[in-house]
Amino acid sequence: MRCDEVILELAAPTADLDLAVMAEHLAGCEACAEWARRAEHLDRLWNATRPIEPSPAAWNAVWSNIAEGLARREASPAPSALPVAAPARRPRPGRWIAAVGLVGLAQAAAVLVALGLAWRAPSDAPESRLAERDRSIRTEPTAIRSERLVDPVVDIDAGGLMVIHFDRKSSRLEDRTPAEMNVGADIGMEMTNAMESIATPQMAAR
Amino acid sequence: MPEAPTTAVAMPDELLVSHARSGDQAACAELFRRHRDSAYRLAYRQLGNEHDALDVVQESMIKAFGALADFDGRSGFRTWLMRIVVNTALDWGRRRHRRAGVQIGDGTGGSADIPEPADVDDPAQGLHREDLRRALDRALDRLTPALRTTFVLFADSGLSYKEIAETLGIPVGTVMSRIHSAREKLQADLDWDRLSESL
Repeated sequence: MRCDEVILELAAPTADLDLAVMAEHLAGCEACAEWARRAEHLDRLWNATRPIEPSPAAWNAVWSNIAEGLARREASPAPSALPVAAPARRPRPGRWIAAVGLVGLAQAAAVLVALGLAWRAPSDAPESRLAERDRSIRTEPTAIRSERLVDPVVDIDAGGLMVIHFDRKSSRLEDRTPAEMNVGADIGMEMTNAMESIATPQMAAR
Repeated sequence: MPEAPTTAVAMPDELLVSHARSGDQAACAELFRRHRDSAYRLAYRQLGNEHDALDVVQESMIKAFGALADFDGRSGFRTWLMRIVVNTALDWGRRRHRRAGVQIGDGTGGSADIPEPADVDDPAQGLHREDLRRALDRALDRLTPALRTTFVLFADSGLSYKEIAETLGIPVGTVMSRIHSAREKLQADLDWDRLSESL
């Protein structure tokens, strides 16, 4: 048996060598015996310096972190864990046509939506709101009158006649009480005559 | 940690792996329980520090359980896991400087459950346990990563030569020659006259 064979067997045992033959070699070879003694020391040093085993609590903490890490990975898989992208496919002409059609339809829909918004937009403008209000004035005159009066408190003497002028922006009072009201005359008749002369001045002049 | 199913004790790793693939956390817990010690010892010998070793075990397990879909079963789960631990420890070692003398606690920062070196060894015997560790760590540091990893797998993982070869992706003959070279260097570097008094 050669020295290198013995040392190889000492370093990485294979049980291929007969132990009795090896012992006989070591007994007669000081160099191999010294190598064997150092190998034994190394084994003892290795065993004497084994790491202290972690406590059960330490292992539990490690497992908790592992479980948490796995849960995180499931929640947001790492790029490497993502499925491999499908192999690229050759584009088909029919699909391109369909894609172009879809884009065109989307653009047309966008234009229609824009037109619809533009159509509705003026109704929100102030002028449009006034026009709307005027339309409602015609149908609800009472409400409009009360809204347009600038000075709602008007003192009218008995037998007096006040004409209220109003347009869209302002109102105006006009005192049309006859300067010399006939004392003892019928007040209703007097007022009717006065109103007729106001409403049809040309006819009254005739 | 969830309790493993009672039948898990008899379950082979391959069956647990298939359960773990379908999201069975108890199967993951059992695989972790079975292999954590080997992974820890391997990481510790690579890094020389208990805290770093625990971190590497944690990161390796997360990697392994997260990549079970890639495990093809051609080698055993243990072999596959050890390969992940080796690579993670090598990465870890590159990122961090090795630290010495940090003790493991219970995860809360305390170290009451870790015996002091003086409690383990009699100071009268010469070198303390920590001194022995430092001497061995220095010698291990002088090995190339390939020699160190191979020798640690041989000495601490309980893997066969064939499994070490599968783990490292090298021929069995290379495994044996690396172990021989590592032994020769370690035995030559260590001061046996001083160390042998404490062994």
